[in-house]
Amino acid sequence: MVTKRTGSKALLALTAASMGLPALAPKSARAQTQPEGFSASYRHSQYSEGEQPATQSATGAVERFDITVQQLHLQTPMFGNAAVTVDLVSETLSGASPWFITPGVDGEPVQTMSGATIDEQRDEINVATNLFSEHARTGMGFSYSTENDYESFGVRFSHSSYSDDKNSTVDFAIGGSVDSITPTQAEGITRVIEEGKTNFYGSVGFSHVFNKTLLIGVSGSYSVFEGFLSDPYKLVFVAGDLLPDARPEDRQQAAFDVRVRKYLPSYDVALHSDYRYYTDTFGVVSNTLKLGAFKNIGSWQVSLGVRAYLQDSANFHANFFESERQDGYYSSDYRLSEFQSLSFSAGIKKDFGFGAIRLNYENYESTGEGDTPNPGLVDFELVSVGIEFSIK
Amino acid sequence: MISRLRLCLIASLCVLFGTGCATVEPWEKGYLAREEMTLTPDPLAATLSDHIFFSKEASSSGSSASGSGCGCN
Amino acid sequence: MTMRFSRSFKAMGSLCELQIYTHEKSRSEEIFEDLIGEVSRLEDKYSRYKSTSVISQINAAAGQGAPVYVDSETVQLLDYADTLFAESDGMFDITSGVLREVWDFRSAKLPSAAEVRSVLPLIGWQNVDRGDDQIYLPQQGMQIDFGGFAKEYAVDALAARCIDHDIQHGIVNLGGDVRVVGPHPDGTPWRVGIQHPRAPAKAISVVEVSHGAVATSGDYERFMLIDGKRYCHLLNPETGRSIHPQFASVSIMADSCLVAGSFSTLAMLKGDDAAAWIESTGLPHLLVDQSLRLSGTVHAESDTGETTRR
Repeated sequence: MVTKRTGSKALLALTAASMGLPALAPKSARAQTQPEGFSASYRHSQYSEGEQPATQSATGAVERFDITVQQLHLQTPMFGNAAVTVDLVSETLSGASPWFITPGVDGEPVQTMSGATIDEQRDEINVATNLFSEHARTGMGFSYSTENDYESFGVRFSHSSYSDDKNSTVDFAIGGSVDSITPTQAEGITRVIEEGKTNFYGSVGFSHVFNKTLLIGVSGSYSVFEGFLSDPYKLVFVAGDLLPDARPEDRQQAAFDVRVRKYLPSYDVALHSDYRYYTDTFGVVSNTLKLGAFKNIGSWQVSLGVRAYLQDSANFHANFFESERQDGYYSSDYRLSEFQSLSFSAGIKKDFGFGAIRLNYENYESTGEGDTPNPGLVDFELVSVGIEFSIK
Repeated sequence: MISRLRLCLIASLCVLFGTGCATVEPWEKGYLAREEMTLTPDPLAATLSDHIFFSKEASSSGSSASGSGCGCN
Repeated sequence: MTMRFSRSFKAMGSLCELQIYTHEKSRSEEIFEDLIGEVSRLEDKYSRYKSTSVISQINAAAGQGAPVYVDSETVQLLDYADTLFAESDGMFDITSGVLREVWDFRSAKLPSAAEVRSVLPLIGWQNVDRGDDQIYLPQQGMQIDFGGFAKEYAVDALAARCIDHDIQHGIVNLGGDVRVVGPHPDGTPWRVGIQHPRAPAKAISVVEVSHGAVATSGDYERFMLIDGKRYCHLLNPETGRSIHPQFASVSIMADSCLVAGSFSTLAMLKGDDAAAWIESTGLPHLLVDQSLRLSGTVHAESDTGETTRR
């Protein structure tokens, strides 16, 4: 009869032996495991910018960009412990964009838009492989994006490791891209012929389950761009001349994120709160706060969100320049101006056993800050429908 | 090294958010398993948003592969 | 507003009951169908009575010269069985099921010494050949079965699926092996009846469980009384004889039903030191001795005369 072995040793041994059993732990406790089956999702989105108001435009009211975006995401498990994902994106763009800003009769900025309607197409493919083990996920991905005047090739490596209890996750990612720009030439306008830029980035993240309704993630990222970082299509008014948009040849960016997820069981509501601090060597500093609420009603889910964004301008941004700058950098791109934006979003999702459909709406409005706000600032609306399903 | 880093981070987050740090057992993770309790509940929407904000604002997302493309419109 | 829904069904040779709290009836029906599907999957895969099961394939290949390749879930269950064998010093042996061929508990007749001797050479987990994802029983007539823990494993599998279905409050009960998904919505624990070892369909005690599992092993599951002596289904793999456990039943509480069930069985297989051994695991337990006296560390209510739960 058994006498020698102690019960506590047996408990340890049997608990350890039971740990890896697949059906024993819920998916949630298995961290990011290999997906169980094939899944696919498709999303069709319509992005439309508000028109450039006549009061701020040199050529009267002008329609800005409309973009149709189609996204397809496919994922399938492979080789026992791996998964392959393929993402395809196709964008059809049409419209006009801000070209340059000149001082008006009273010194107010007047926006001139690109003359002809631009029609463009962008296609992107992303292929990634992830390997899953009990305590980690390692992924590698490649992306390629092409437009008639732009090409980008990117690579990304990421790794997540999980604590034994799957309550903590540490994420690392590094990646980079090589881009080339061959601007469409136009008669009478001098543009660069071919330029390139490279990007390298790294990020570290940490997330932890604090209790059964609270998850918090923090992350920091660093990114550096080198090469041609200017906008080849934009011009800047400098002391009476229109010069090409000219930005430094390197840009370093750093960002810090905190993301909080809280569930309120008595209301069946999940609350999101995301904060981001961003700074770069162009002199841009921004703060972003995003709040969201998701309410479950049976197999339906309704969501509401608000995003507030506030940014300082780049050192070399102005609507126009009365005199030359020492460093030779100029931009009147609205993206680099001082502004704030507020966006509201709403969504509805219906779950079926095998998948879900989604409908989302977002309204984005930006407002210039400072003495003379950039007149090119944009508002947009985004409507999207999505369908997803999975086969086990 | 990582586990030490982990402990430091957990401790500092606990202080920051004033929450208890009791270990959550596997069977208590039902709420956390919900899609809307993940950091990125709807990846396709998030990718698109990132791309739009990247092309309309100066702060690019910095850590996502969605930056490809010019966004120069 | 969540409501309680329940479903009873027969599976794995036992009466099973699921109780969950959710919003709507249609949702509960979906979940019950999924859970019952999972039980069927495990039953089809591991029942020794189904000729297409993994177990039957392994047993059919015994002594045929070629190993059987198995999937990772089976590999891990075999690893678990291997640990049980080691931790029980060979008393918990999944090859000992062959003894059923000579032990017929409905016959009210003990097998002869010769009959027992004839099957003993077919018993011995240590003789089984195992590779990474393959298993081979070296002698024709050898057999394995997961009867000693398949039901407990299924209980855990269903509880995990409940959590995946967003169920916070519920209980899974497969023939008295129980796993609580979470307490009632108001936080009160589930009251789990412990089977009376001598009176079927009657509870000898009720324990309160908020999370984790309770499993019970007893000498009453299959037995025969011969000359007033009880011969139960727990058989010693070395001697082929029915053991006479110190306890009529042992109930164990643990995080998983698999571990709880393994320890309740191990405790039954133990000799006189079972109580001290269980004590040394630190697991909450409730022991019922042969004169129906209760002991152990679980705070239990006395006989309530019913097996239903609140």
